[in-house]
Amino acid sequence: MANNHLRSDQPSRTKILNLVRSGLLNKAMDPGSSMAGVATRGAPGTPLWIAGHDLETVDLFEEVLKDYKARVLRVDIEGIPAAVAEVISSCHIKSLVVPSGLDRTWYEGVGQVQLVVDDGSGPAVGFEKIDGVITGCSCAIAETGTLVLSGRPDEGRRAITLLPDFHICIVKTEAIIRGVSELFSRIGVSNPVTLISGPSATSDIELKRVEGVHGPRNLIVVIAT
Amino acid sequence: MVWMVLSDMAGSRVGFPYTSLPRIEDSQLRANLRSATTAIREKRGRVVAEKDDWEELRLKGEQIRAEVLNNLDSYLVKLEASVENVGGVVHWAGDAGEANEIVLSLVRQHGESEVVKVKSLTTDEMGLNEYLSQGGVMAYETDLAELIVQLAHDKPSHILVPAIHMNRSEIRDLFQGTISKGTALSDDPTVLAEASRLYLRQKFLSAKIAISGVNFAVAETGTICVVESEGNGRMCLTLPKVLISVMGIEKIIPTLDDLAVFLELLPRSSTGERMNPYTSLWSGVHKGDGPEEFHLVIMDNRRSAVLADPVGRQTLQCIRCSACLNVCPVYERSGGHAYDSVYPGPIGAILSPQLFGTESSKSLPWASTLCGACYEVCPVRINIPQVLVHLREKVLTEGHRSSSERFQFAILSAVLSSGSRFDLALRTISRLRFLINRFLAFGSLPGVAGKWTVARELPEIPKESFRVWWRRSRGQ
Ligand code: SF4
Repeated sequence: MANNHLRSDQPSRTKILNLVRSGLLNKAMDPGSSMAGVATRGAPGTPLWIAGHDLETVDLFEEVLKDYKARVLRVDIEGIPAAVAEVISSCHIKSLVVPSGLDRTWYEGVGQVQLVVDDGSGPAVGFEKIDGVITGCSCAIAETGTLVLSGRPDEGRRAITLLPDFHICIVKTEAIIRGVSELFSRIGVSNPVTLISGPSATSDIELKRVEGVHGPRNLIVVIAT
Repeated sequence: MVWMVLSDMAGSRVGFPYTSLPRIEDSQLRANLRSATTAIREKRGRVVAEKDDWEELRLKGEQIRAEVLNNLDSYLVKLEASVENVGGVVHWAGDAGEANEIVLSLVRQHGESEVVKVKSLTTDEMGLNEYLSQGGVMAYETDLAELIVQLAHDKPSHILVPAIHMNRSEIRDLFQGTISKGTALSDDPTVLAEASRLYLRQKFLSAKIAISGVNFAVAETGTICVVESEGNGRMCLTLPKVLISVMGIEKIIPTLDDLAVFLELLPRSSTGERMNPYTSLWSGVHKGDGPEEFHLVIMDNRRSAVLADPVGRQTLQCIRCSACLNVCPVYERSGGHAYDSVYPGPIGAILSPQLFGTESSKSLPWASTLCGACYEVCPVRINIPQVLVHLREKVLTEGHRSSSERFQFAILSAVLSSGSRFDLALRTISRLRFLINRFLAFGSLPGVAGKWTVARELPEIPKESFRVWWRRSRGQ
């Protein structure tokens, strides 16, 4: 695809670059010194959120998530299977998709549920007929209540967390960072990355927030210590 | 001073003074706008106050964007190489027409007649939907507000909440006549959102091609970033086989760490959230996850000319957050349609005249009180008032002064340059006050001066001027 598409076929490329270059001969009003790499990664644990300064990172994460109307459960690592089972039954989830890299012990005991284990091969069809999805989480941001999925084996491909209506996300406390500035020291972008902050929402009609338009309308976060 | 624009527009009756008039008289629209802008302003204020390093973030935002613009040629080449390196195809478009052609020919190559679209101002600027439809391709807008605007054959009135000018019952009626024919809907926003979910889901699952804009393109890695709330963006970016993203040449960010700065600045400034519900990042094509083909269209469309203007250049720092709209007293009263451009509000008042240079956009630099509220909230610190004043000067020096205007200024300068002539003018006006006040009672002055009062109120002329009163009461 890229082969039969040659740069030399594109006179506009040269034209645009020439226009840009001649435009840059006029120096901007405040001669901006070269500031490449201005951004620095925040030191982990730097308190940034004024209202939450006194909160531990994990507690802050929980508060902000709840503010988004996400349901939050706090458990020990050993408590994950029980928490998952409780959510599945209380939400009446009848069918479930999980990425193939997810710890099987977490969902093996969920009882009478139709289960699809997705290894990412094959077309992404049929997921819209499935009630719920369980994933892990590479990284979570406390200050913004953000779950970061970066295509690791326990997170799976993007389609599985998009079409089902319930997303159950298991976050281990060591994955939680304080602020956005630390994000890219934790994850890479060689796979697609999705940042999820609360359930899908719109405020398009009279600015009234409606939870749930196209993505999962229910977000359940299990924080495991 | 306002006379100059008015006389400039004489006869043509185009430009902001005329387009804003019906909006200002629409009290329902003004009420909708006031409550909407007030609500977003307050939300923004709350989440910005949470960040004690907010000003530092703004400085970083400004520096990063200025760095990119001041070295745009090398960043463009770098981005191109990175995108190609991860399996994307880069197309260059000199103007909107060329960008439209590229998109349509890509759609045709795949033999499709339908595409799904993620809300994108850049494609609105191109008039892409109309172009595609003339070429036999239907583009479905999938953002709720854009869908509403598309169904109503209307135009967006706000960058972020394009249907801000419509209330819930208007939207209910619209849906019942279009996507939910035969279903009784209530005007509860939850019900209306559900109706759009049902309608669009089929489109997402069947579409082969998606078209999106670009919030940020990271030069270092070729990563594209799209931020959104509803999940329609994720649908479009994930499910179709082919993805075409269109960006202006200025949308580049050097590194991922620089991107993190904007992931803090944008949601707080824009929707007043700590983070928007969904942010998608992708780098070219990823086997087994998402589109098999990725095309990036990089469009100039006169941005290089904006870049060449030393004062105007900063306009291109904009990240389209719309914070400046929500604080603008002019926008709050006139609404987005009055700007007669894809880009309304303070950013529109500086961007539209530079990009489009149309007769109507030339009046936009005057659609401001120069109060500076926009500059204060702008997350990348664009000095909007400075650019406004610069553009006023530009419009006027580029031969837009009519002879009647020169005449007016000659009189004005003669009067203002002499104390006694000024005194005489004041006395004359006071003497004519019965006549003038009579006209004002009917709402407008006669002749050329009437153009000034068309959208403004003149205070009643007092019996004597301050100077006269001062002299009399001091007994001099
Ligand atoms: S000019 Fe500044 S405040 Fe206005 S939309 Fe652009 S970035 Fe936001």
